[in-house]
Amino acid sequence: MLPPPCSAPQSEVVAAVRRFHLLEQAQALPPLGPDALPALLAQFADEGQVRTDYPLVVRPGGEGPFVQSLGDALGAAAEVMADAKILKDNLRRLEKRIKDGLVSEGWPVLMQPLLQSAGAAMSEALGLAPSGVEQLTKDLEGLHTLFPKDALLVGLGPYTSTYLFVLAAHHEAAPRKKALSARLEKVVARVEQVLAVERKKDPSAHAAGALQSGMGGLGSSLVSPAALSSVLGKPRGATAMAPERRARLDEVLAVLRAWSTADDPAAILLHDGFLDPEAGRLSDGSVVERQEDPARAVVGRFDDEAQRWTERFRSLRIAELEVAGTWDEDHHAPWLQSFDWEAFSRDELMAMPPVVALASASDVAKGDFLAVSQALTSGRPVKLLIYAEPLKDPRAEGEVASGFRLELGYLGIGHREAFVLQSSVARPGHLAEGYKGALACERPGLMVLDGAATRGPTPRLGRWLYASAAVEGRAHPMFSYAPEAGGSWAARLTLGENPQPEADWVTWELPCQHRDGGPTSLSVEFTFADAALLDPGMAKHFAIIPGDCPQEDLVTMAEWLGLSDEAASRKVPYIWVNASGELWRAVVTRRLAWAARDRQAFWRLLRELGGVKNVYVEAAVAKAQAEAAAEIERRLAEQAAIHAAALEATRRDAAKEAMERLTAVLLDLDAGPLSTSAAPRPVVKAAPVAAPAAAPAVEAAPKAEAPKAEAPKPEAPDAEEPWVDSPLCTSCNDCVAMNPALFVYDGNKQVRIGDAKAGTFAQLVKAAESCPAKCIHPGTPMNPDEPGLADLLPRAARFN
Amino acid sequence: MKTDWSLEMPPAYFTLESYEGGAARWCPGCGDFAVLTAVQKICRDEQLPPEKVVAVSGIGCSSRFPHYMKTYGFHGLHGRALPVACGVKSRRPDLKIWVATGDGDCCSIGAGHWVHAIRYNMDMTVMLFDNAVYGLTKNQTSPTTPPGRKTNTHPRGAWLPALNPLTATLGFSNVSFVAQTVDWNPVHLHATLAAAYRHPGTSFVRILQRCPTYSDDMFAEVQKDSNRLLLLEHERGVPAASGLQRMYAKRMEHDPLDMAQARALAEQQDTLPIGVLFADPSRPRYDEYTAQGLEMTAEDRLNALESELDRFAV
Repeated sequence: MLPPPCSAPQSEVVAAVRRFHLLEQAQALPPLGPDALPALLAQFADEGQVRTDYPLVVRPGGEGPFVQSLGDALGAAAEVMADAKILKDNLRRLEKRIKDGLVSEGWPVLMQPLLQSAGAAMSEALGLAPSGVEQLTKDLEGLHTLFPKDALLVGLGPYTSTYLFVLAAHHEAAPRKKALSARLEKVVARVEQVLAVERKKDPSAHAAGALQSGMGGLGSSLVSPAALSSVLGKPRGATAMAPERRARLDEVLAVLRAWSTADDPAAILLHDGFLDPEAGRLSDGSVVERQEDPARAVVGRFDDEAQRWTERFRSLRIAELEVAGTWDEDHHAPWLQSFDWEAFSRDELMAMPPVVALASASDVAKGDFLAVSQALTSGRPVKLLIYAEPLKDPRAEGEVASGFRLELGYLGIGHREAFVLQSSVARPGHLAEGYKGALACERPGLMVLDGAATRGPTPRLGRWLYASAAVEGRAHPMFSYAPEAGGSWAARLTLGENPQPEADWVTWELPCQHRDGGPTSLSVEFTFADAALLDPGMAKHFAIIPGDCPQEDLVTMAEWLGLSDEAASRKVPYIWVNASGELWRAVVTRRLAWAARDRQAFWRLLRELGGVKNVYVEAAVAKAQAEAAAEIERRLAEQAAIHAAALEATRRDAAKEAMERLTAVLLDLDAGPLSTSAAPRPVVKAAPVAAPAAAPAVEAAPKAEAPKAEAPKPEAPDAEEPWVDSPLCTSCNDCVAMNPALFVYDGNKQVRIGDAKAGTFAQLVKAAESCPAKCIHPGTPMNPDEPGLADLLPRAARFN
Repeated sequence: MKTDWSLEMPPAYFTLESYEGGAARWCPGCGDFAVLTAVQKICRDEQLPPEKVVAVSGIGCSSRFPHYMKTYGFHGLHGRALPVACGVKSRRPDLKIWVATGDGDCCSIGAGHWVHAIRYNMDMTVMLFDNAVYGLTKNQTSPTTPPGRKTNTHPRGAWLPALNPLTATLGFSNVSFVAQTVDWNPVHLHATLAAAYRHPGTSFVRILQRCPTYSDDMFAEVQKDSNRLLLLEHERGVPAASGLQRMYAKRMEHDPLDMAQARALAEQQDTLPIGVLFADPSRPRYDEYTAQGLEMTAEDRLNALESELDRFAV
């Protein structure tokens, strides 16, 4: 309903509204009742009727999606089941029962037992026929098997976001830990084998006692261990390993045996009284430590932890090299001496529990911000989980609305090296993906979360709507900045699941009823001021505007934020509120309006960096469009000019032709027939082409002939060198044994001629004859005086 | 982040010398030299660490093979090259096995093992040095001696038809690779042995090998007339190198998966097929079964044994 008229004179009403807007003096205006809600949220006043993403189904083990809302998870599971009609028809009932049965303030609860009890209760309540009960029971059992045993339900409470981080760390590390555990087990077994073999080489292994225990009772009764020991000599065929190697193996084995990957915590959380670990049950599976200044301590704590893991991975490497038999003291020892966390492989680094500092934004902003800055540029994969209050400047003392807010997330981006996430429990999908991104990043990570919704007592409308309002009202825009993602802002910054990212403010249709009774609807923007209205502490920034207040100076908050400073100074912004079921305009103080303007500016900045409504892009598009339009214009003009010229030419030709025809007709009348309009052309003989210039009188001197080489004297032919068809050589050693200087092996162990003068022709012939592959060709004798050539030459001819 | 190079070793490169275990003492001109060099070349080409190679043999001239390889070696009992090789492979699947066995060693006293080793199809290369005579013991008739050839045991000539190792092996169950090559053509010998080495399973290669002392003339005709040999070519067999194609006028495209044709080729007497007759890498390999549980510790084994024995508890 639209507001009823006010009894006061209109000018006074306007003055009162202005006074409230500028001076926050509320005396003359009706105050906002405690039940007043932003008009768009009034329909959700009954929290119990709102279906949210919570509880979440979390699968930390890695099977299926990591995070899903319970409704989605049940729906997806039911979809893969054949038949199961009763179950599918009652999925919402099952969901409601599970939700009601869940007692969690944000800590994880195993899903299977809850699913079981809720299923049984629902089955009973439905009052089915026996066959129906049987079918439903079977289907519920089927549904059970579709969820892993370690599936968890996480409700929305003060610890939800912390827990989701720990679970995400578990999820990311689980496969790596499994692989690491297998690697560890394998190498420990191999080192033990090596040492077991070594122990057998010890003379004591042949002592009577050892033999007796080896043979067992029956064996010892048949053979005398003492006698056997006396005849067994020193073990042969093996020498004991060097003592330093033995010591090295013993040392690494001790480190590796003491290492149980199952006992490693999922995360190491540092806080300064910010958490109540007992109430939050956070110490289950994680290490929770109290540190005076967590942001300062986080780097040192990481280094301590990394030192521990360095020892482990160094031992693992030594053991692996040892069992592979590739340990080289000179090569490996210096490397491993200077081995530290920076040399970890990615999988190794990811298997380490993340070291996380938890703090509130105000502690960080008012405390030692330099420590945060140093952590973010430390190069270590430390994480900072900061809880901010979307409606508040973290530096402000008490006062909420402020024209400026310190953006810790944006400051984080300024460090360039750090992964930055700003997210909220209102969008668990974005939050979980952001956590996974931060954990997968080998750099420092800064995560800014909406702490107002989850910390402290449950707010009006419940935590989820409260957190969602901060996202919808751009009080807590979500984004992630991944420095490794690429070389441009577009690649690095993603705006995630912010609603209607193109617009400054989210707009929804609000169905309402006019005072006259007819249904109508309003298009209402959800601004920062609307989100602020949910906070009871902000009530003083709103007052009801009487119904008959003149409209000229009133503009909606979104319109006001779109005005220039000059124009805005003359207008009064309002938002639509729902008080006691009626729709009213509520005037907003100037202070809150400025805060909204600051939020709008930040949102615009993010949007531009994220590539949504980027001014440069828009300018470039406009320029390109203008250029394209100009080009079209130019071409059109060009075509038009060509057309006009052609037209003119055609006209001219046509006129000329017409004149010629006319002339011809007139001439025909007088001069009788002409053979043709054109006189016959005389045949002009082309002049003969000028003869080529006479040959120069003086004959060019004959080319100086190259001095002729003296006719080669028929020299006595050179001796034909011996050669070997090496690829055919079977490496039989025959020729090499005969003369290792004359015949040598090449890199393939096939013979070639080494020094042809190092042997006699007789040897060459003999080798050729004995060669099984017949690949030696002796050529002709180098020494014409070698004795016996008369006999050798015909024998050699067979092989040349 | 600094890079961790600690796991990387300075690259070791193996040359032929890395596999040469001393001067081979076969008769001058023996075909075994060619086979030894071919195997060493394959080891070098594949850069096999010598400690990952085992040469196994039985008894005979060719069975001196392991002594001349600077790798692990096992000079076994007569006819027992194959069971020893299977034993090594069954628990050390990481080792590359070369089996040197002769026509006497494999086809006579070791024939029973031959059948089963082929059926086990463990990943190894079996080289049958077939010189058709017992050379080490000075010229006695071997199973592959052609009829009519005079030896010390058959001075009037061998009486029985020769055993054909190719048709025999092709008849064994689960055979997965059969090839034939000659020692006097190093290119073909190397290519055939390389194909055999690459084949997963037992690769049986019959090498026609001359004994310069007792059977130098055995393959003289074949050596002289290259038309007596039929070069088998196929992309899955021995690659058709242009040099080989020039050497042999008679060539044939033969798919090594075609068992019927392989058997028909193996039967041929007038022309000897050289190349891969049969190769089927999909045949089951027993070493994949026998190598199970290698990672078990002594304690695991004891526990498994105890639990097995507990089944008989009353």
